[in-house]
Amino acid sequence: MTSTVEQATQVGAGHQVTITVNTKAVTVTGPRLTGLQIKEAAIAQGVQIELDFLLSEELPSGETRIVGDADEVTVNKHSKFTAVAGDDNS
Amino acid sequence: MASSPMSTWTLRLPADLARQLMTHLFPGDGDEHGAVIGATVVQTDRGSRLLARRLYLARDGIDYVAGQRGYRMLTPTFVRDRVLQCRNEGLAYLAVHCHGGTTSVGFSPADLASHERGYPALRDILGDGVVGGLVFTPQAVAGDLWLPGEGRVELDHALVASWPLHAMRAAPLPAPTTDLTYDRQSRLFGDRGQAILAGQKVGVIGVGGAGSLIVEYLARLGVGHLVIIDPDRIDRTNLPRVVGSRLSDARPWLTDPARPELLRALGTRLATPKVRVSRRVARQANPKIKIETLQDDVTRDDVALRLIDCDYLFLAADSMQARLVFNALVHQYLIPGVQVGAKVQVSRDGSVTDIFSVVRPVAPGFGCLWCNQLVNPAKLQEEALTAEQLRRQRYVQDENVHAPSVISLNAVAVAHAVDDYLLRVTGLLPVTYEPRWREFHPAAPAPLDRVRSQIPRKEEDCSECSDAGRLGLGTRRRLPTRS
Ligand SMILES: [Zn+2]
Ligand SMILES: [Zn+2]
Repeated sequence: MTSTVEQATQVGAGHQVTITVNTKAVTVTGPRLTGLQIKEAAIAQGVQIELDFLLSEELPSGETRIVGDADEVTVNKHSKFTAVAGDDNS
Repeated sequence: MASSPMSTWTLRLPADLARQLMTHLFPGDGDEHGAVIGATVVQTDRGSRLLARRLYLARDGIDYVAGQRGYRMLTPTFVRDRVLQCRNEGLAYLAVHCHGGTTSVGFSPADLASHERGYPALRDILGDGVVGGLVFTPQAVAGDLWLPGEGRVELDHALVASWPLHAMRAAPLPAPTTDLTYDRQSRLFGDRGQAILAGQKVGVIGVGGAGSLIVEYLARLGVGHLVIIDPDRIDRTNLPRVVGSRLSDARPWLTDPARPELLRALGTRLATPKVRVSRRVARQANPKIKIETLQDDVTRDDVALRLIDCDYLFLAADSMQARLVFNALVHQYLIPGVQVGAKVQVSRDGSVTDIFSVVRPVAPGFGCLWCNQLVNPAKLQEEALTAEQLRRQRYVQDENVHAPSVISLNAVAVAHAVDDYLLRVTGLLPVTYEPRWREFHPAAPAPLDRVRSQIPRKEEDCSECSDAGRLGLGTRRRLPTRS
């Protein structure tokens, strides 16, 4: 939980790309990022999620793939992600 | 139309879906269980309706597990997959779980904290759709709905479109005040029942022989709001069976057979519309009643759309087109209804071959006129032809000979249909009530043939009444109407 957006930009190889997280545009420095970096960037840019939400990539095939906090993914401008919480009841 | 937080939000559930959900939530173990409902959103002048179309049951221990912040939770993967399915079908996403208790229910602080935490993200994923949480007991439901933008409202009530029509709320309504006008009938169904009737909006399609009786009965029962649709005007042959019609409505001084044809044509054009006669009758019965009259055809787009926020529909017009539109309204908008009619069949030599009245209650998910072959595609096509084409095609039949019609035969069907309605909405039917279509054959020789019950068939993948078809689609599908 110590990562910051600044660190994210250092990990990437340097070019800015706008992806979507929960249908909101999020600009990151790509092409390779970790799941945690994507969530951090989204939160910093106002997407209403928290760091422990489940991140998934929506693939063009219609399938989804979970992206763990440490998993690295390659993103481009067509990359789409969802981040959701479990729904706790009592 | 934009969702308005000011609007009253209600949820409608087809009987089958509600039964599956309640069985899942209350298997008798006293524990909590979860599910998700995907619902179409329909905005109307009378409020916003969520029409339950999809039910996703969360499997205990797999999708519904020990919670991290509460007692149990829907897993994030279950939430993600369901919200994506709802997005793909353009549906609102409603997370469901159950609580102990009976006639009242509310969310716990943990429930509400979970909504605060997770629902803004789900609303974004849906593309600014409606996201909500519902909590059920066997007899109550509360809902916390997150509307696009910043709006957040409570669900007013949920209605299970079953027999009886079962309204569920977060807590019982306070007792309404007594109206002495209805003292004798409210002794049967109570002040609560009377208040339910006053809050109802009912559509009547066709106000000829059967429909005019329906309007009179509903108005006298104290139904608060009627929408009456019929394109026709009164002629003198209507007088024996259209309730409230007067000879003067038929403009007899113009339409008398002794008059020149031009005057007779004028008289026919000036005769009183049937909807106006019905309005007169309804107002006499109840001066406070709200009435919308449409002297028009229900098979027209803008006319049919006036019925989508009704609580119940009566079909008393006998065209295939009207049947098709009525059937679609029932299933697409989850509005229960009934078709009524009476027929006297006469053979070519003029002898009566059959006399019967028919009552066909239709509810979302309970068979339909289409899968029971009561919408005849050939006749539908015939009706779609112009009057001139029709005349040419029908040269063998004499179109000027009208079918026989008698007020008492209509009254049999209408009384049963209005009885069904009354008992259903006021909660007088047992939950185990077995609905049937009924035919009355007063002249049948064998006693047991005089009242016949029919279990309607239901095709699993019917284009009209199944969830592979119109069921719960609301405004997401066009009605089978003409523009
Ligand atoms: Zn709860
Ligand atoms: Zn059907």
